[in-house]
Amino acid sequence: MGLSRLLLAAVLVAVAVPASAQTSVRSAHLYADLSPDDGGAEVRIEYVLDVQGAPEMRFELLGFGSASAESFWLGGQRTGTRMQLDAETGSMRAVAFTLTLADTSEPYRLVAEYRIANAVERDGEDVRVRVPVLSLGFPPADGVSDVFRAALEFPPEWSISEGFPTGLEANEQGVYTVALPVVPSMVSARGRTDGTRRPGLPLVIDLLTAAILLAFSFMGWRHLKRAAS
Amino acid sequence: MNPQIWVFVGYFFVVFAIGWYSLRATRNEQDYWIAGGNLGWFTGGATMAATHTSAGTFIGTIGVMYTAGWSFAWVLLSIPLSYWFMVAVLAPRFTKQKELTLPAFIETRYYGKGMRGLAGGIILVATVVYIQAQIVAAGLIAHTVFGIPTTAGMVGFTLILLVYTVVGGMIAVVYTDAFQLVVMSLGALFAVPLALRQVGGFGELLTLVESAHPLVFTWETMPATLLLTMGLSFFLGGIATPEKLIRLYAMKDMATIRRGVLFAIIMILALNLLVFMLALCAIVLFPELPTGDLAMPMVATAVLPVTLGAIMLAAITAAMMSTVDSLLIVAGSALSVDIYQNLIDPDVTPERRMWIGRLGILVVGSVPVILLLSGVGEGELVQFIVLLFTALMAAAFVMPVVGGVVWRRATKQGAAAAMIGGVAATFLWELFGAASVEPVLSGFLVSAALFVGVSLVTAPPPEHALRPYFDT
Repeated sequence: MGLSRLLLAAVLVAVAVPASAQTSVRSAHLYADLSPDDGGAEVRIEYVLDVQGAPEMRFELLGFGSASAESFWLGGQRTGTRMQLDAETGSMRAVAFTLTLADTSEPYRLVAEYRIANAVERDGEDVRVRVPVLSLGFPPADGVSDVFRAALEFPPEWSISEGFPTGLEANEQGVYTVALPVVPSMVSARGRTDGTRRPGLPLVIDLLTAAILLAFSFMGWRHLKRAAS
Repeated sequence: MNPQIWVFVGYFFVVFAIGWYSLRATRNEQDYWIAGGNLGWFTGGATMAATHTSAGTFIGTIGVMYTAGWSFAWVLLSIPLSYWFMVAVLAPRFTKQKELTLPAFIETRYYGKGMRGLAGGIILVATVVYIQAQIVAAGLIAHTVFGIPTTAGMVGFTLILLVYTVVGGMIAVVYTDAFQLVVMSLGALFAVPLALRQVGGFGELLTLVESAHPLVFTWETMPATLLLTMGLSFFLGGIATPEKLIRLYAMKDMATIRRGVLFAIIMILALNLLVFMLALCAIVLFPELPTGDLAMPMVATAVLPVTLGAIMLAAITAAMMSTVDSLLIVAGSALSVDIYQNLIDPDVTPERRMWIGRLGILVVGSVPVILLLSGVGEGELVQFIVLLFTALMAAAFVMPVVGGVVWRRATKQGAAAAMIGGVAATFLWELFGAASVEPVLSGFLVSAALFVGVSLVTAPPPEHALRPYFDT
């Protein structure tokens, strides 16, 4: 592939990753407390970055449905600075700032806290939770798996039947956790507030898929057996 | 064991079973190279669609759509046009005399063994380029599913593929293709509603996409010249790539070809539409992917339920296998029939020729992974490698194949000049030309000019070369 084509590929990648391609995310750990009665969520996210130079930071947050950020503190609610997320195109909200560091050889730790209003939607006993994730627009660091980890704490009487990203499961303390190689734009879950367990749509689709494929495999096997004889 | 690994193991068990039964059904050379030339429309169309819908679609196309938005989606409309041209103009003449390989057609029409060897050589080189794209994508998937290094994934994928292609030949290829098309369709079909459910429906998706990537629905992400020449590349490549032409020989008659190609067009368009929807969902759900090529693996692992996600990844692997196995068959026949028998040992027995073909498949299938492990071609966007292969095939074969069956005056010298000049112009543009124009344009123009110009100044072709393709 020619040099010109490589440059074009680089330009295309730059369209998708508008921030500096050199600074990268080593880890992003999110904790969300969904126990408040008002349907909101208290969220804390801790980034560890491999910083190159003095990159312009840009926190971005997409609003999903009625779930949107109300307030945002950089460095923690009690000790940090309150910042304003400005509305941009559609449901995108963002704030930009420049990070100046004396020493960029060490990983840089950045903590942000925010509150999501209407994170919990109820329909009778059914409940849907959506927690938009504050992102920095930096790609994951090379060679690091499961950059993103989330821990969601629901009221103890709830039962959760499905979630995004796939793999959201409760640990021994009853906190639901999930990991992913990149930072997603949200984490979500569906379940029941009365604790009853019902199979979620993913399980139904999994079973349906398995049944269809088994049927096709059986038909194909019979066809090939006839051809071979 | 991880459920994803169980699904992959089950999937490959099915593929090997098909290879085993196909070996038992392969009785002669015609069975091995063109599945007996007796395929029905469903199997023929499915193998055509599965060959087309490769990693180029499930990794490359979605990757470019994720990065550049809908402007690239319009390029794909050139694909049905090329299939229509193939069935309406090319197939009725091209299949009048059935051959085992595309270079065999070149020899018959252009009355020379050297022509056949030349075509076989071009196919071997271009095949290595294309298989690289598929192997890179396979490495990415293996890394996503199993957490193993990308290089180990590339090597493992190549080994599995080589085993069943070498053993089963074209019969194994067409039946695994049909199975894989079912798997791919099912995966994409279920993935779209599940992904839409996560973002809150189609209306909400459009709002979120514009919020996350405001340029998605504009024409600003790619130069117009690049889009147009990409469309040209898909159109010309769709007509003249050997692995598609050979499927015309594999189907039993023209009525079957018409139905099969229509089925392939419907499947390809439907799958591309689903892939575009998934690209939009990926823009919203995973805005920070380091490369667009990871969009589909992320949708499969993070949006879909565990089993379906693993099946979707198996489907992508299946798509790659469909393309690579077909190309390996073409490359094996190019080496054993078009080069070895044609130029080295004309009296070779059919059995020995088939074993040389198997050896050729092993060699051609191993070279791309060796090149990648040496660092050649590593890190390229899959779609761009696919486009380079398509441009090479279009520049080399569109004029000799299409011109050969519609223009009586086309000569051996004209076809040779077109093949050599077209490939050289494509490579030169790839290395030194403007990035905003696909190399297919220069390759095709040079090929067409040489084909017509040289044919007109050389002696007309002999009557025996025209008889199989023209009336009187």
